[in-house]
Amino acid sequence: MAIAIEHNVETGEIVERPMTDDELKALEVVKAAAAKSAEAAGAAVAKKASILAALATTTGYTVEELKQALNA
Amino acid sequence: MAFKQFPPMQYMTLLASGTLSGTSVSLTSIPNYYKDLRLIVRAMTVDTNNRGMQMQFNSDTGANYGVPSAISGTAQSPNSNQMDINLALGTAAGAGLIDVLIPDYANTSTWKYLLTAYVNRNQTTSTSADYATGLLRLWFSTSAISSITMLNNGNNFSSGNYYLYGIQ
Repeated sequence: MAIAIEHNVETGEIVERPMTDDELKALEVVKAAAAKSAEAAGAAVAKKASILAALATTTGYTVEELKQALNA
Repeated sequence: MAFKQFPPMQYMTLLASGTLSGTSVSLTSIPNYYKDLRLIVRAMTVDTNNRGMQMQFNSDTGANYGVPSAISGTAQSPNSNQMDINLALGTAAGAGLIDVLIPDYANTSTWKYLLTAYVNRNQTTSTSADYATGLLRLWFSTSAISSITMLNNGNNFSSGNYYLYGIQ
């Protein structure tokens, strides 16, 4: 069950309750956005690895050497 | 002889602190008489790998946030339903520290932004760090900020502590 914690800054009261239907719907949007950005991050990592592998083939340097040089 | 005055001890006032748990943690009824807000999150862990923290203001779940990919730019339009704060966290990322500054949060005439920096353990190499500084997140609203909601992609917080300060 999805739980929402509400901490009232003025009173200090902390309430724990199940999320409402509206909050759960909004959460689905957040989850979808997270999945999309994780997919994009994965694609970026794969692209970087592919570029490094191609560079290693053409230059004779190892992928590790290229990584170190590019981070310098 | 005049001495330079240092800010008094009350310069930063702890408004609220607690433990992260559940799916979302909202800090509500934030008073409007401070200049800025600062939120520190220590040792946050989540129950799923590859999940970081997001924030929303005033329970606004609409696509009214901007998550720029550069430190400056033009023509940034609202492109998100939440503000991503840090990147992927592992379930054992516990050494993480997140620092969020929200300047002039109570004004009612400008859009708002937050500025964040963080460090946390890399989820595959726990002796290495994931980090960033100067991440800018935008909220396209002129409302005063009276609540902050912390989420982690719809997953649950496993542990961690938050500290909300008002800066005078």
